[in-house]
Amino acid sequence: MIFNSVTFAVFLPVVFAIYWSLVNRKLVYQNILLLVASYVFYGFWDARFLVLIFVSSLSDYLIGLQLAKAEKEEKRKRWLGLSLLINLGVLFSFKYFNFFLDSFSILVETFGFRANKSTLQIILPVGISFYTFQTLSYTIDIYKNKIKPTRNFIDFFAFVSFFPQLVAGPIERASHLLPQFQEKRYFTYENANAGLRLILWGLFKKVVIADRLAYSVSLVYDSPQDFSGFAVILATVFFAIQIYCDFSGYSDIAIGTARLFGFDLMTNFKTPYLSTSIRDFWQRWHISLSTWFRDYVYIPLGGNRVSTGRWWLNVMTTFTVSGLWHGANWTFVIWGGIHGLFYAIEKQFEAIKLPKFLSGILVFTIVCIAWIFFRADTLNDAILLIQNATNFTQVFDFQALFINKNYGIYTIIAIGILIIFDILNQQNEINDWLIQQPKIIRWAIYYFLLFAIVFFGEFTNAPEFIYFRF
Amino acid sequence: MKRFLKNILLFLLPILVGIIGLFQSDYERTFAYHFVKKDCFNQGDWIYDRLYDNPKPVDIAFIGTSHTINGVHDILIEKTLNEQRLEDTVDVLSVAYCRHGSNMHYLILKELLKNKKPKVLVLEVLEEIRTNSHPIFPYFAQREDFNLMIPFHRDYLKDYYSATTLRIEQRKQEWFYELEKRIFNPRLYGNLTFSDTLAATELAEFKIRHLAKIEKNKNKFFKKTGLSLPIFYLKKIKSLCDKNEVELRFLYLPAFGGINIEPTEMEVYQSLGTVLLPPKAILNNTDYWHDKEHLNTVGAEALGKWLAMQF
Repeated sequence: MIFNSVTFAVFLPVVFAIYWSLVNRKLVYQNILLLVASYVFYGFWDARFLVLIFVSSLSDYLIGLQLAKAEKEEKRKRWLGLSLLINLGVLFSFKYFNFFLDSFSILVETFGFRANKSTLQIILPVGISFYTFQTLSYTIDIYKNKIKPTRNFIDFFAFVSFFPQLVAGPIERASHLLPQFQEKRYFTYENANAGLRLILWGLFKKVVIADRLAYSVSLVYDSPQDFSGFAVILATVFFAIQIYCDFSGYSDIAIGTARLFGFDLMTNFKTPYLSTSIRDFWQRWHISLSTWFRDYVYIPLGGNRVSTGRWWLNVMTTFTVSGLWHGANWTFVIWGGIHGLFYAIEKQFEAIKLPKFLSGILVFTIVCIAWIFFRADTLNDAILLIQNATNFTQVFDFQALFINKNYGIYTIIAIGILIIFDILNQQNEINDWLIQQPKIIRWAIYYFLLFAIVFFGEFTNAPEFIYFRF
Repeated sequence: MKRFLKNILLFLLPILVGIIGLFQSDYERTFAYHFVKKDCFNQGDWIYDRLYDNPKPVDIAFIGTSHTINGVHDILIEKTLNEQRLEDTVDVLSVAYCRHGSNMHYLILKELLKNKKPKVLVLEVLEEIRTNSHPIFPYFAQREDFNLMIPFHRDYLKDYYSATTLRIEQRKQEWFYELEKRIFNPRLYGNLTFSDTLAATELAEFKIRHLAKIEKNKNKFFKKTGLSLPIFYLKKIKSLCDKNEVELRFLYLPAFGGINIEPTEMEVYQSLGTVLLPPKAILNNTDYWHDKEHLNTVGAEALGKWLAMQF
């Protein structure tokens, strides 16, 4: 069940109505309803994977209790090790087995040996990268004595499977989200309104901007040999906007949906393309993931409290692993590596202060170059695109990148609206700006967004949310 | 909560008015038929051209599913009938459309009667009457086809939803984009056949399973309750035929093996018109089948010759 579907449009109001009218009296009923609704939501993707999320939740629930009970450090380490083994083992099996097998086979064949491999025909369960990280953060935080485990089975399972953020985040920390399941939620007009506003804005970004740009991006990236010069550059810029609108749009819908039920999820994006440094970019882009890697990979490796050489290694390790998290392909590893490299280089040259506008352009350019690797199907395609991007011999036809002229014009207008809203909001939520406007202006904006979604939204050829693949 | 719900209703009110207004406004037929291009071999586009743009009359019309598209060779029937005639000619046309749904048959008949004056309508029937709404019904239906008199059925909400989105799509194309120009490639209408033949052993296996399934489905509750929709449209078809002095006949065109049993709703059909039962020698002949459901070229020719004798 995806957010921009009729099924979800029916599912959400039904769950909302039952939640606030029938089960509102007791906390346990609220949580049971959310748990059931979340399993129904996830089951719509593929009912077989309900077993997986159930087992993953159960193992970390039990391990959490054991971790808190264990007094000896050795025993605590063993329990944590078990949690890591189960969660990362599941992730590895479903996501990375074939990738590492293929890579190992290529390596073996390079040395002249024959690799006899049989890959597993496995479907990647939707959301596995997200919920395994969420449950891992739970057990790691218990190990570090940052939080206490919950004995409440329903609370924990509802926390893991909470449908607004189950399939593509934000990756919530137990210390932030779990306590919200342990307190009764009360309906507030402001929360509900804020939730709907975010959903509307998120849908606009997804179906009006991201899904319309998908056509142009696919046109170039699916046939890299046929395009060069401005076509490649523009397609890459379009992809930068597409992935931003797709993912931040999803996050807005997730956060807005959670608000409808009285939950506060963490902000995942803060106008990342207004960043003036790579470091700044990673404080604004996919914040829930970047902070997860910071807290559970970078800092345990030593962070920046090490020698320069070791610090470089820590940065590169964190970013390349983060790249690998996105997908089982060397293109993602290189994408992460590029960010790590420029993050480290930037630190070395932090004494040099560039004008904000110039550093903004520079950061955006570096990010776009990295996106080429992220979006390209293969390493060869990425290299070909980079080579072609500097070849301006082919005549550039802007209109050829769109289905027709009007389609292109409306897409550019929608991007313009996004830029205006992002500049107005900066790092604030769009809600903060909207509630300051008079009611008539607010409603005019709501109707405009709804009109745009209905009349300009791409529904017939819409691709799925990009981050569902991870 | 009350304030929230009140605001939601207030917000949705103009939208609801807009949707009602959209339904009341004209739905452009060219768009409707053209929009389903690439469906059923572009049949929608060709039906529109034959009924609206092509002045050739229609005397005998065949309406049905892909069984009719493949099995009824309208050109052969026309040729055979006209060989016997000295003065006037007979025009035969198949305006069948892929997939099942009696509401679609009604829509096509309405279009047919708007532009032509057929004397005979031959409506395809199968072993079991299908209770679903045709998936393309919302594409072709006009506003008078969506009214509350239609019995509630399993696709009721889906049809209204589809119809709403299609009308929005039409306005979207009209207001914001250039409506694509219709590029029409004329071809032989109606009949579309395949020359290959399915293996006799596969047909035999299918026949056993198929007949057993039909027997099992008889008297099932969901089957009986779903009949209200197709029977509603059958009666409307009959009423339309009577009003326009068109003789209604039914042509039993089942899947392989189905000719050995009567249609389960035979009594209903007989109460509305004559039922044509093709000879078992044709429909049991394993050389005449392209697949389990459809006749091949040779089969269509054999059936065509027999059908010509019925008029």
